[in-house]
Amino acid sequence: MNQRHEQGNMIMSLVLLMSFSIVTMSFIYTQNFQLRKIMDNKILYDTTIKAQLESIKALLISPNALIKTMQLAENGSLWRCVSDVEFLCPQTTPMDLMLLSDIGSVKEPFISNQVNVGFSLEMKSCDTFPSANCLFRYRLQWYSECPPTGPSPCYAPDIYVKGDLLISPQFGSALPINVANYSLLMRIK
Amino acid sequence: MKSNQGMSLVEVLITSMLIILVIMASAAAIVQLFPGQKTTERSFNFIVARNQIIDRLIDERAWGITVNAKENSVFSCLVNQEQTSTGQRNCNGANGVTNVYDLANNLVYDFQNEKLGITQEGSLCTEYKKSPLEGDPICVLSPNIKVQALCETNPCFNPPYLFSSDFSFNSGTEHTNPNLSPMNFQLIKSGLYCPPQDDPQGLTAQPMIQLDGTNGVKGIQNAAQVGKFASETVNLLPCRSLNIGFSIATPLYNMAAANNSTRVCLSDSTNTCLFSFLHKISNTGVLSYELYQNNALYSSSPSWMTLTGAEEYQFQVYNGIVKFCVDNKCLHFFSQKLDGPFRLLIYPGWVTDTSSGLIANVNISTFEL
Repeated sequence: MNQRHEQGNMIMSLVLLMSFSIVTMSFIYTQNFQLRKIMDNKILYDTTIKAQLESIKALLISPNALIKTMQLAENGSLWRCVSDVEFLCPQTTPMDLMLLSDIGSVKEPFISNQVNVGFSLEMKSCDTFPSANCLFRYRLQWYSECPPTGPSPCYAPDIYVKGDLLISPQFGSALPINVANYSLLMRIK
Repeated sequence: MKSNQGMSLVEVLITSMLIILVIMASAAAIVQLFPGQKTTERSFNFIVARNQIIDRLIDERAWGITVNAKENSVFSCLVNQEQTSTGQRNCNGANGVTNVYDLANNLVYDFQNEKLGITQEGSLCTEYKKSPLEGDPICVLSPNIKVQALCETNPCFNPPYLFSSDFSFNSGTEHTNPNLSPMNFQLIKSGLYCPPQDDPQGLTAQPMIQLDGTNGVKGIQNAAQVGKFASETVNLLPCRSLNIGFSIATPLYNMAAANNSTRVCLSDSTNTCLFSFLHKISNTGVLSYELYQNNALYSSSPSWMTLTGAEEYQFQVYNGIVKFCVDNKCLHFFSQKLDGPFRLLIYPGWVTDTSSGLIANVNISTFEL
């Protein structure tokens, strides 16, 4: 009788062991899958953002895009600061910049100054930033800089464009991104 | 005698069934695991391959080689930038598929080959089959990379280019294609490319100009005449990063007529001034200047700046953008751009047909912004 119990226990142990094995394998698999997914996203977002940054730089050195952008009413006194030597350019905090592409219009800027316009992991423009479907946004700003030894405000200051990558909280914390690696600073005058 | 040792037949059967059941479940899980793992790995490999394409497109060092490749006709308008004919420089409508080269002039991506593909492991292959009826189980992914010039006007010169991708999958055996949309990308690349050209080395002596220097040019006017000018003999390209510096050594004081003023301009290849600097001096000796864009007054020297005559003036040209600077301080930003080959013209100031004026230190140099 005891031997039969032992045999039953052995079978139960065997079944439990195999069940445990399956559960463990499933857990490892799930973890592995999630890890690979994170790695996929990591290499996907890195190049996506680099490509976006490259595109912004290309437009900022394109004469058509740059001149049209600077003359936009949405960009305030930027054009006067750049072209009017008698204009006292305001020394304010950086102002949001709307960047047009060569064939862009005001309605569809390449980089909007609207806070909800960004781009997705698939590099598509979206207008629900910050959200899971609209993970990133480049915030472009322009500012003027007077010579350190001269008076402020000043005439004909240097003009810079800076870009900061903003990330939606929905992107999660699994992939800490060093946004400084994707920042931009260009002198346009 | 009936023994208590061992299991009954029923127990053996039940045990066996349980073991078989567990093994089958395990096997099912393992079978499930490996294809999933394989798909995940493949997705990873595809993304790496896609990123390599983007990195290669971004690489500035090999851009000139890709632009110059004979089969990449989409870039021929960039290669022809030294041509004075606008038709050859016009990029309007330029679009197609381009091959991509590396710095060592090796063809890296033969995108014009429709059979170019990517394997499940992410390597390049050349057996991709488009037809849904057939398909190569190894060469499964096709990178369709297209490029077009971003032109708003016609003609359009030296525009940026938009690269866009559309990946296709065909293994011939899988009925459900992987989701490739996250792999698609768009990349705008500056059309900034400059064909090689001679360094500017000389001015046409008209009137007589003494030349000094090799890359830099110094011109001294000895016998100014009405309407005469000196010009750079080499057509300069707006895609070059050029700093054209000059100074006016001896300003003339008889400025009753426009011809009396020294004028330096960037002209087209027919010597028509596009961007002009006009040096002025009042009867009381106050120096000033005016800037013209297509012969219309565009800007003038700032009222808050006192010119002494010792300044160096500069036209700076970068990718067609034109600025005017005084002692390296770029004060003026022209609203139009240089679209084609241009020259430097100098109209020296004069008093009488035989009097002497002086323009000194006309330096043409390239620089990197």
